Amino acid sequence: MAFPEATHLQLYVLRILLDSEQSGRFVRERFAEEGQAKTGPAFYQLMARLEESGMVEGWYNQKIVAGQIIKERWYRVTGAGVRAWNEAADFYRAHEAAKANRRGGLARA
Amino acid sequence: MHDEPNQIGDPGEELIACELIIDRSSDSLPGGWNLPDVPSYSGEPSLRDITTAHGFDYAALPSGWKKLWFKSDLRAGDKSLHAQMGKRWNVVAGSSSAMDDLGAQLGQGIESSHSPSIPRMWRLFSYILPHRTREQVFEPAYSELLDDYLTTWKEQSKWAQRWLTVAYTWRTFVMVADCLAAASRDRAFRLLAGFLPDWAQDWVRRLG
Repeated sequence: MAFPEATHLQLYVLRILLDSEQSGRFVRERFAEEGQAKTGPAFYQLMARLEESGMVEGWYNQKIVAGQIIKERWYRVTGAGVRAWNEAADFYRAHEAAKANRRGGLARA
Repeated sequence: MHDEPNQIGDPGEELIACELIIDRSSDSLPGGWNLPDVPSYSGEPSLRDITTAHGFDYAALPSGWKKLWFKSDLRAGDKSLHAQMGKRWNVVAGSSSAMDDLGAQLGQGIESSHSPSIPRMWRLFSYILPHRTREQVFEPAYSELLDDYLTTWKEQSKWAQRWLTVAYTWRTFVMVADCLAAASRDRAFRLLAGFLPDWAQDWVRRLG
């Protein structure tokens, strides 16, 4: 089985976006909670790469803060992103199953 | 407080909130009067004129109280927004005639968004970046910064506000440097950087 194409960080983004579309800020805060704090530009570059790979789709929403317009970047996972997530999940499940089989074989021996 | 916008504009653009009451029952009055189309006694634009000039579809506005955000620099009937809404406010405040009583149902309040004017320089920093980096990396990161700035700015003393502006200007500058690092991996940017003097090329390489 081929290795997943997406990196761990990309897979983590996909996992968050699988539940629902989210703002970039929300995803970045989840990163910080997991001890993966990133500067704004570093984080949005990661997201830009995900967009370029077609796994995520991004757009701007507007909101008003203190009477000023703010453009907020929102993301949703695409079909390619769901496929990438499933492939990665299958890969690790198969890997775990093979490891368990090996352990079982050793224990019987 | 974050409100849902009803205007498309550029980040940092100043808006003014006006509270209106949309009374559908008065849209068509007996005798052919269509209240939203009636200018005030002093010839100010009608409610329909004002909302249309600001990009709203009057017919689609829901009945009842509605807080709408208007661009402060847009004009309707050659009147500034303050003049437009202010006149209506006066109509409400000092009304006595039957027509003005009807007008009282239209404009109920005006609230200027008391917010800082965003230093234009902050945006100008970003024009050193390639378009793709500016659109996908700088803009969203800058918007987060702007959001923090505007939220923090409120309810601060004058000196604290000045200090915040200095601090956030520095943070924007650092952010642009971060974006330059991201852009240094962009092929078009590398091509352009090839025209820079050697010391500048070294600096860009170190950023990446």
